[in-house]
Amino acid sequence: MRGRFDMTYRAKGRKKSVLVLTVYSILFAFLVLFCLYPLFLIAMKGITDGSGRITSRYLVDILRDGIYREVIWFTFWQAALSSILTLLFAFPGAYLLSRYDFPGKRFVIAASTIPFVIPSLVLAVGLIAIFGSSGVLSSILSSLSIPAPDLIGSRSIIILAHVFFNFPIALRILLARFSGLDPTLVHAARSLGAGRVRTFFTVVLPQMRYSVLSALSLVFTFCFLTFGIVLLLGGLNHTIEVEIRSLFVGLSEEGLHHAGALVLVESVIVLVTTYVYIWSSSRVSGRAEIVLSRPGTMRRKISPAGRFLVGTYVMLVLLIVFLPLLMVFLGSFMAGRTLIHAFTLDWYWKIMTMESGSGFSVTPLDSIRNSLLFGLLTMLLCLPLSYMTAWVMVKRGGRGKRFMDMLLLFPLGASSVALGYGLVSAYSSPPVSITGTWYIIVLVHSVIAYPIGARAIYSSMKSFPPQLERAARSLGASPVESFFRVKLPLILPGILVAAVFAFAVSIGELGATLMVSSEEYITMPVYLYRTVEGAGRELGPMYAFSVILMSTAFLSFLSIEIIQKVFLKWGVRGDT
Amino acid sequence: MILRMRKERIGALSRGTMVSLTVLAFVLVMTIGGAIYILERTGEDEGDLVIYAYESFQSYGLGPAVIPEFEKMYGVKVTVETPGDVGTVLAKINLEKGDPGADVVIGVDNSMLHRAVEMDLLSPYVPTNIDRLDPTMSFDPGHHIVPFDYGYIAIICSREMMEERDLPYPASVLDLADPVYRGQLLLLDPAQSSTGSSFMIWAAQVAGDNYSAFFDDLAGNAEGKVFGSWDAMYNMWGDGEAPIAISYGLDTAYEMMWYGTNDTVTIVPPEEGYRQIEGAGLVKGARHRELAEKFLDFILTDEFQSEVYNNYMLPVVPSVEVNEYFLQYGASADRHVEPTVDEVSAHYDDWMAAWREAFFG
Repeated sequence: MRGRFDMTYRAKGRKKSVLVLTVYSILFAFLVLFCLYPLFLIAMKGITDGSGRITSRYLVDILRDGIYREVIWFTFWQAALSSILTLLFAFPGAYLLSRYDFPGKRFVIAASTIPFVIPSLVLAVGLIAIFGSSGVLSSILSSLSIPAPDLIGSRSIIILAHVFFNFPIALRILLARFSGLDPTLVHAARSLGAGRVRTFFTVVLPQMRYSVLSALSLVFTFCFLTFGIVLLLGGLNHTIEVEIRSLFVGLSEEGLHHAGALVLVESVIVLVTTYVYIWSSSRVSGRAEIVLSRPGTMRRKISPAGRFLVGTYVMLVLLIVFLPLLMVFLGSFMAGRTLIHAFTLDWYWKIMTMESGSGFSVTPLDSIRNSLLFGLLTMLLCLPLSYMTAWVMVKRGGRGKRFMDMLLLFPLGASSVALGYGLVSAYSSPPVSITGTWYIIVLVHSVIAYPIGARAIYSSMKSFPPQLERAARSLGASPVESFFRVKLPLILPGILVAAVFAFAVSIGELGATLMVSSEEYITMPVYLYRTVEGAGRELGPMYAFSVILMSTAFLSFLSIEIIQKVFLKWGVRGDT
Repeated sequence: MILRMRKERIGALSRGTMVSLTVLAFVLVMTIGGAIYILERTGEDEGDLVIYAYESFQSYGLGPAVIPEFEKMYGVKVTVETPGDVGTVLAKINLEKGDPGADVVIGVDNSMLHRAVEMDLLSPYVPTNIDRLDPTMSFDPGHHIVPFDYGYIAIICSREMMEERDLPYPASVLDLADPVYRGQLLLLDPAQSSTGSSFMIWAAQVAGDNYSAFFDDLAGNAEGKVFGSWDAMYNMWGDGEAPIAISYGLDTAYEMMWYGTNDTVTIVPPEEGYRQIEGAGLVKGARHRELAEKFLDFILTDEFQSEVYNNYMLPVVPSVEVNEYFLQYGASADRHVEPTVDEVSAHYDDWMAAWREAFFG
């Protein structure tokens, strides 16, 4: 027993432990069965014809056909533009936040985590509330008798939504690095006579390059795989994901082959960007730890000019994060279609008392219950998966490590629509028929969520010094005890973040769920999507339902915070 | 000495840890068990007959009017699932081919049937009371579906806006390509909306071999005002986005019936009528085939046909009485240009390609 633990910590080249191998096999079995094989089936459609012979016809088709080419091109440039704009917006903010201290700074940073747990659909509804034909903006503009631009359905609203949604992610990645910059280098440059601007470009910026690349590639990947936002706001503009979905439901054999080819093209691009992300973030996190323990040295007293800059920026951040959510919230209590109206609880009442049969054979309450249960089960299935993934990523070194890591994190860059469709078509006839069951939803949510959780656990596990565990063991703690008393409390933040992510992904997932869910297991996002799509004229219930969805996600976030506090307290008491 | 004593405890857990772990394990098992129990119970609730229908079958009220009637007649329980629009419904049936969840599908119209037939989703069935059906409605010689209602696809104009802008009323579908209507037109995307694909077929039928050029002109006139769903388009039309839109022959009747006003001018050119005929079909490999056949027979009875007004559509059995508003204000045609399923099947992809090229190319 002892030997096994020690050996895994030793350098590479030794005999691999049985445990590592076992964990690998479990993970790969899961990955192959529920992700790779279903996606393989779909991708094969793209390179084989009706009788199963290999053909390049469909690939040529989608690259030559004006419409498909337009879809691929649009997906690409909107993702590029969105990610660059996001970075341009987040970069100065991260710089200011890392350099200046001001009251409420922690709140601003905490607020920027909110979009992580808020489903993208809610954001889309928020943007409808602001920019829609009966939104705030158009009521303000029309009261000034300026014609309001109708942004819903346009390309600019998609890019706007992507910047809204992803900018907090970029901000956090950059902020982590900015706060960790080695200040002695800056001081050295300055004392050697370099001006501020020159120091920034020659000393600070080069140190930021991997973080910038990592944020850029991550945001690009997200925007490239975007689904819900484009479906709801994009009108007739299709990204690859939306196009794939319409081909899947389009019911033509030819269309299925084209969808397969689109999945292939999409996967190739996303594989590249995911690889860039993993590579660049490994370059960053390799050094982050050392510098994180040296806080505050670069910060300065705030100057009047700086105060103005910081103030403006903070206002902008808060506006971006909260305005769409606030508008949804206000809209859900307003009796009329525009902003300023009598307070009402009618919309909530309507949702709570809606009977089945009014368009759906399920009620909104059914969807809320289902989503909560799926979220819970997804979280419970994801935690061991994420933990095992992070564990083997830490344990295993040496050659081929990056490839193995890529493979383990593969679902990060998988098309969720194709994943959903692939799962259903892979396991839809006896003896293995999982269509229309509840566990197909839990499975698909878990496949999508576990790599995100794995990354969170991985980064906290990596900063956990193995000597601590060994110290505990040598002081007489059993393996289990040293795990629970020493390791767990230290990596707990990562585990809890993983739990929140798993829950949040499950609560907000639309692309795959739309493909796999059956009527009785309808989830909140599917319900919301169908409400928006079907009865677009009544905004009140849509807002109210969005508020419920958003509060559920937010409450899960809060409750995890509370659990963390309680756990940590318990850990401390256990020590005495 | 102390070191030695502590070593004795290796392997054992302190009591606090043990208790916490046990509690945690217990809570976990209870949560998982509880969640699975609730989900399993939700899934069990399946009827003797499972119907997949498009959403408006339930929301407009036809389903709630006829389903209980059928349940009473045979003493059975029917489950109606509404996964989305017709396209979504058929896609779901296609996915479940190996293990069908539905027995009957409701809402396959003459613009969609060819897809269902090509994908081999339906099992042909001739109802015992087929002689009740208006013979001009049987567009499917293969009997894959039993028609249950129909409605004319129509051009609707806002009287107020047409007068305000001094626009002539179109007399034919082909008139919509006239440059006077530039920017005055709301259209539907046939890839997303079944009303839209009906309109596309209609337009292609009337335009004949020139459909490609006609679509180009239509696209020029629409100026990008093309919508994914009839609901979205109809709302925009109601908000005054443009005076002309694509809708149904009963729209004036609808307005008179509910609002008592008469702003909607509904145009169905008498020589070029196109009826959207909606039907129900037997899903291939249905588990409850016998009851499903009974349901298809039920569709042509007076009990069902007298309720189709809920859908704002007309009955397919000529003897069934029609609502007086529909009779008085409904637009209809003398001659029809509906193609058969095989004709749609042969040309649909070409029409679609031309349409996409014209509108998005």
